[in-house]
Amino acid sequence: MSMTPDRDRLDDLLDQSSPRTTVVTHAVADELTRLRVEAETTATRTVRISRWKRPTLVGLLSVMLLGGAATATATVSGAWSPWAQTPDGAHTYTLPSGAVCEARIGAVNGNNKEAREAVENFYQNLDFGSLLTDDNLDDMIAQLRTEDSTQWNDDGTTEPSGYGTKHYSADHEYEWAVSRILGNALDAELIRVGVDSNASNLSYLGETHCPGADW
Amino acid sequence: MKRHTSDGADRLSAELALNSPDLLRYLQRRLDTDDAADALAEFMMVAWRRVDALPTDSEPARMWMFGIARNIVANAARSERRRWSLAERFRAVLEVAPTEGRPADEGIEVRDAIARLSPDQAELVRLVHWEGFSIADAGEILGLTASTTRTRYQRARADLKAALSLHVDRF
Repeated sequence: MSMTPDRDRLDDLLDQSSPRTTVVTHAVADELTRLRVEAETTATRTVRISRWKRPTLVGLLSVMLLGGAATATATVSGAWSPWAQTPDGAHTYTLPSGAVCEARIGAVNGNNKEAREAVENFYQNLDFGSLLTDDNLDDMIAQLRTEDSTQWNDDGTTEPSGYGTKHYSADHEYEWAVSRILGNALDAELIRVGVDSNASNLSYLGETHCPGADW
Repeated sequence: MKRHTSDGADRLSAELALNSPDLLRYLQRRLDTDDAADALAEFMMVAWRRVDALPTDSEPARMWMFGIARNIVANAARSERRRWSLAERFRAVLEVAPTEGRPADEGIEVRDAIARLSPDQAELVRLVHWEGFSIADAGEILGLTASTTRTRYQRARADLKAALSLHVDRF
């Protein structure tokens, strides 16, 4: 593979140590094309995607659309991701800035049907208001402020984030507290019904639109 | 909403079409299948957000893209990987797609020896021997000077020969 002038046995060993990769079939090529097109659309409509490091059962992607044209597009043309058209759970809440968020949760994946159904049932039947009380949110925000957070920059570098840093945003902190409370409640429910989340490789997706938020 | 110049967008679209298969292979050689799918989605998002920095010529553009992918892999090693809805279908397609290359258990000893090098040395070796970059280009992707690249590559080879109990003839 490499073109070093004096190849020897080591070169062969190194060349041959490459892990297996996917054959680029027509289906894979089609997906690469779709990904390329959708990434452009998403990247140009998303003013900011905030990612926080956290130990959690599941992955949650929050796409936050900020103000103006981007928000109008989301509202008028229904720019929710395809899976979010039929979510398992949806709720609204008001950020410290006064902006109202709508969050949708769904696309539950995992290799165990009962585990998937446990997650879906949890969100389909959840009384969001009983969990997202002012007291619960205050407690969670206090806890978040004791934890380290990291911001990923576009160039791949990282910086401390969260309360007391230049990246602090009360809206972002509140949104994160909502997400953590719901995640913790789900963890507790899965333990209660005897689902081993690690063995089931469970994941779900979330999408949050918060027009006018101050990130 | 940020708008890109049509020239930059057209060039990036063309470069991504050309290099996406190689970038997918690059990520799959360093991450598991699900993570590679998400990393490719993340890579494309970053590339589109930074389209204004895309080099004009094709080869520098290719190296610029591998530089971004390199940062994403480095971050993946430090943190929990997020699942991107954008990659949801892609993950499913990759799960059932056929794979190619030598048997998975072949070369484990060599891969382990590479992994025990310093991160930059290991990546230098991988870029040269797995991705087929020249030593100079691999160094440039890693942001190393030419002399530093040569020195690190030769040291890496010496360390690997020792680790793999090969005769050290030329060192």
